[in-house]
Amino acid sequence: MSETPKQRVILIAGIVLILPSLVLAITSNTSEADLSRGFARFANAFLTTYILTSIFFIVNMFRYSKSRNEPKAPWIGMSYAVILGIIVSVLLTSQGGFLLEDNSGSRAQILTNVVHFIVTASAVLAAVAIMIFVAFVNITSRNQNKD
Amino acid sequence: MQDEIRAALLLWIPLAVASLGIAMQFRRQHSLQNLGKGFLILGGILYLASFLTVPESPSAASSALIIAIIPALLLIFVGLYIATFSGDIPVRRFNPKLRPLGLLLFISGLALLETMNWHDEKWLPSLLWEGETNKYWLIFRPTFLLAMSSILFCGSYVVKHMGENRNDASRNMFILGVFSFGFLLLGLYTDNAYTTTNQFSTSVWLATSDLFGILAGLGLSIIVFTLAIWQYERKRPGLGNLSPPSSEQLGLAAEIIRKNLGGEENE
Repeated sequence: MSETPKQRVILIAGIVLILPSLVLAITSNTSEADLSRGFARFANAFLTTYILTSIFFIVNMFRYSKSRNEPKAPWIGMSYAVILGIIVSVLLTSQGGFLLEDNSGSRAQILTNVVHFIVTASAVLAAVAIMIFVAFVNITSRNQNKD
Repeated sequence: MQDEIRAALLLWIPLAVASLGIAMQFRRQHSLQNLGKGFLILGGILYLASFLTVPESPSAASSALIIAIIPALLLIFVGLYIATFSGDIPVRRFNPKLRPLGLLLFISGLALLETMNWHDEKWLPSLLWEGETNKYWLIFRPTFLLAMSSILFCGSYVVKHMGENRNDASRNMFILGVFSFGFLLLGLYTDNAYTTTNQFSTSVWLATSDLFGILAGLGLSIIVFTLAIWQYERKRPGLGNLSPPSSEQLGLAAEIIRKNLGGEENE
């Protein structure tokens, strides 16, 4: 059965999302964490990633504006990012102080989120790098074994 | 207040300097790139030393964790690097006989990472911080195992469908993914040296929330900037509206192709 590229992308996205969902289902029965703690972690990870990746994209928009001769492009991109960021932040923070997790204030929470992001991103990047290397190790060994 | 200033000077500012160093790698000027490398090294060293310089800061535990896992990660990546570049590739850098050594280092690295979790021995890097399990280990390990199993399963599928005779590579990646997922499940049902099953399942639950949050945040920012770029790109003339290349442009293209392909003049 041949698959179209679109079907493949959906399947790959499915695998990425199904495994965490499965683990979520298993652990929700045994863990002591309640739903609000999980949601607070989700919201903090979401906001931190959104802000950091937006900063990265904004820097790149300056390069885009130079190469395409569109001087307004970074400012438009920034405006979109800020407007959406404000809407999402207001929606999440208007639910009370649940975003604070174990911290006493918002400044402490922001700093915790940054360090938390570094550790999480290191874990994900290490996993991605291992996958890429393992794929190459296996592909190059196939040719060697053939000789 | 004194502690906060110390933490700012010895942890947060170095972290900001290191981030600036990374950002400067995207600049075209070599001088700025070199300056960025200096910033990255200086900021990185100060941040990694923060568990010694500002142990009173809770965030310093992250640098203690990174120092503790560096030996295992070094073994993993040095091993994989040797195994990859001793394979049958044009850019081979190592003797093919070193390939088993590379694989051995890789397996040793993974084994060390797991042994650190299951045994609290003096010769192993410690995962304790202020007498308790380092809270960042409870973030790193479940995220790493979860991400590794998901990504390896995806990679196994992609490798199989993006080339011919890739079944062996795909199978090996799938097996490694199963091992990774197995260690995750093992932690959910067996106490280890640093965490009880309840603690671990809570941390897996939070790591899952974290991964979903990261995917959602990344997705939203990509959508926002895609929209901004699309707004400009849709106004640009299509390829059909471009005028045909002049004979001078065609000559230039032919010259570039000839230089890159080589071959005889009369071909």
